[in-house]
Amino acid sequence: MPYPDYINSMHFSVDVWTPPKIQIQTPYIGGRVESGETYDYEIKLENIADKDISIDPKINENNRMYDYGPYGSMSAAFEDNAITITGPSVVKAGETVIVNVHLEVPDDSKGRYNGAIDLGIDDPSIREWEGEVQMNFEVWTQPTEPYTKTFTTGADDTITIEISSNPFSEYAYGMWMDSNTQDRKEPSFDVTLEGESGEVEMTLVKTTYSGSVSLGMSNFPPWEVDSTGIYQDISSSYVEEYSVSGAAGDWTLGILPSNADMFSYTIAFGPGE
Amino acid sequence: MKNSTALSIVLLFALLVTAISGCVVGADDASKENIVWVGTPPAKNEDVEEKIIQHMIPYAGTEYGNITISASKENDKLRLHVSGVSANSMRPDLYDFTYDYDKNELIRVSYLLEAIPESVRGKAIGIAMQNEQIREILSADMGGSSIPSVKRILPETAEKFYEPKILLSVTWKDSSVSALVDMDTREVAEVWSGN
Repeated sequence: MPYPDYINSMHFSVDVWTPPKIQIQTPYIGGRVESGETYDYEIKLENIADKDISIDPKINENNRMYDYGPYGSMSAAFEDNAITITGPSVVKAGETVIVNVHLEVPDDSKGRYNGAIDLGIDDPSIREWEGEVQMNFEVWTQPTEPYTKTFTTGADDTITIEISSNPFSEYAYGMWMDSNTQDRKEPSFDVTLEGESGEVEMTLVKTTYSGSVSLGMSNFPPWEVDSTGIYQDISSSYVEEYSVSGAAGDWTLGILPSNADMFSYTIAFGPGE
Repeated sequence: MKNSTALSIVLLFALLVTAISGCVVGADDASKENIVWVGTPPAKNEDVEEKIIQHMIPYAGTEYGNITISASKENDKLRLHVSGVSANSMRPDLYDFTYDYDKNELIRVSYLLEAIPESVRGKAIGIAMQNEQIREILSADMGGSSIPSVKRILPETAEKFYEPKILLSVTWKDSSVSALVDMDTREVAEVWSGN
């Protein structure tokens, strides 16, 4: 027997829990960031107790690898030293303070950065996860050269170009719940059309938002049956339609996307070669 | 038994009861302060809130910072749609309940639990993608480049496929493939393909 058992004695333990004294009002920072750009975030902390509490925010060191990919762990898009954290060392009783997070995305960075800031809150009631702010960044590089597509029309006719992207899907929540939602960026396209006599002016005739929603009743794994009946965004798209009168001949369509990592296009006109 | 010993035992029990009471009351008060009703709260909303809080299951080690409830009346019952937001995830947990006024009974109809810390979410995706069957399906499908959903599966459902414990479902909807992941063993318990 590992522990002695004494007559007329009892063993008991007491776990006393109290709510955290520091409220973290910024739940999460992250989103899509561009290489070569800088970003500033604020983490608001409110001390709801009646005594001052010290903090020591710094990056949690257990985040150097982004555990994602078919061949095992992949390196993060940038090192921890791309992130600078500044703020007070004490949150006075009843006070709200701001911890500033400054991100400088390296020019050559690619991929994702997934980590956490350990706020170092000096409060024994803090449980796992409660003293951290999660970070999740995806590095995005805006293209500078347009995608081009050549085609030939056989007669003078109206040429209709339709371009669509899927901007939401996985990033819908990120766009709405990102602490930098005021910087939320919509997709857009810079579209050019050049014929044998030079570039022609395109007219944007229609913009369309669409999406598909599932109630989880078909084509879902059987263990997700309990989500049946709850609306789930499956996909959504953004479409721009352009129109121009064009002469028969060779044409080159140019599409330079902004804030869209994938798009599709259709080119409609009269009989061609 | 000596009087001093008996007195010590009584005091210790009193301390234990006080500690437990403080824990339960403290938790309930903290949760109720963060409840927001969409529109006008229904009759007996405090009773309903209390039952909802008892039925909500945040991710281990986390708690809901904000709870939003919308309600619609159906005969003698309330249909409730509840969203719980955690400080450590950018996705909410969603629950659908019905509340029977006559029986004072709350029944959970559906749930969709995506409020999972981002680091855990990433680990679950990594575990799923290291499964050979998942990799084959994704590599054969362009949809493998899409980002999957990660949802908590509660023990009563997980038991039908593996064990009665909380598992994570990593699903690539575009590719119709899903992995049921055990985060304790870091293994894929089951794979589903809809093709």
